[in-house]
Amino acid sequence: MKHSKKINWFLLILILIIFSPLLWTIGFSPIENQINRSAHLTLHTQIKSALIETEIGNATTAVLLKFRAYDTLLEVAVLVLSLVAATVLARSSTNYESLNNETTQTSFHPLLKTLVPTMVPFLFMIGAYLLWAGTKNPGGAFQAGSVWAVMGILLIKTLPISKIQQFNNSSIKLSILTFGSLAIFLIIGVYGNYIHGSFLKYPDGKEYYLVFFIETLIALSTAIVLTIFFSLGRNLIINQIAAISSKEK
Amino acid sequence: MNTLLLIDIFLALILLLLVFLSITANSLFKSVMYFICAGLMLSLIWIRLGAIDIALAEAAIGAGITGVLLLDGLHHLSRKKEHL
Repeated sequence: MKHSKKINWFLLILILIIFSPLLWTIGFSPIENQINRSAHLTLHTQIKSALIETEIGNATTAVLLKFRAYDTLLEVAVLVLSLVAATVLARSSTNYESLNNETTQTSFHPLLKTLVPTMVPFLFMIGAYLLWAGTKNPGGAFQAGSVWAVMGILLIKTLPISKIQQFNNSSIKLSILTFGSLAIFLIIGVYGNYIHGSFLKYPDGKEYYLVFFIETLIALSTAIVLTIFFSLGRNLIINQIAAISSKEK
Repeated sequence: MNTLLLIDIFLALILLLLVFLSITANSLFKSVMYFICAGLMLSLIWIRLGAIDIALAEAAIGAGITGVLLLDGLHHLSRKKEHL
C-alpha cells in the first residue's frame, strides 16, 4: 500500500471549519462550568432520585433497561435485523473442500495457537463479570457481549476455513437465540402492559431478576451477532479464492 | 492551574496526536496500531469524564473488536496481493 505523504490541506481546512464551533465551545466553557449547569444538574438529580425507587444499582443500566427500555428493545431489534441482512448477503455457494489447491491450506500463527487457549477462559470470565456487575457497578450487557464477541472471534480465527463454512451453514441455530431474546424482551414488555398498564414496566419485586435476565439475553445475542458477522465474512473470502482458482484454470 | 486539568489537557493532546499519526502513518499496520492506542486513550478520557460504562464499551469495542477486525482485514489484504 502506497500512501501519499502530502497532506490534503483543503480537507484539513474544511475539517477545521466544521469543527471550530466545537473547539470554541470547549475552549470557552471549562468542564467544571458545564457540569454545574442547571440543566445537567436537573437531569442528574432526576435520575438519582428515580434510581432509589428502582431495584437497580447502576444509573446507566437503569436508564438503558428501565427508563428507556423501549430504545434498548429497538436496539436489539436492529441487531437482529442486521444479522438477517448479513446472513442473506454473505452467502457462499462454493463448497470449500472442492477447492483443492495451495490457497486452501490454512496455517495459523504460532502466537494465535498459544494465546487462544489461555485467553478464552479469561475473556469468558471478564464478560460474565461485566454482565453481573452491570446491575450494581459500571458494566452491562453490551460491554459483556462485546468481550464475549472477542472470544468468539478468536475462536473462529483458530478454525480452518472448511470448518468455518460448516459453522456458517449451521449458524441459523445460533441466530434463533437472538430472535428468541428479542421475542422474550417483547413478551416481558407486553406482560408489563397487561399487569401494570404500561409497556415494559416490570412487576414489583421481580425487577432485578427480570433486568438481569434481559441483560444476559442481550449480552448473548450481541456476542452471537458479532461472531456470526465475522465468520460470515469468511464466506466472502471463500468466494474470492474460488474466483481466483477458476481464473487460474 | 490544578494538576487534574493538566492531566486532562495532556490526555486530550495525546489523543489528538495519536489520531493524527494514525491518519498520516506511512504503513497501514502502523495506522491500525495508532488507532488502537487512540481507542485506549479515548477510554481513559471517558474515565476522566466520569463515564465508566462508556469507557468500558470503548475499550472493548473501539480498541478491542475494531482493532482485531482491522488487523484481520490487513492480513487478508496482504494475502490477496500475493495471489493476484
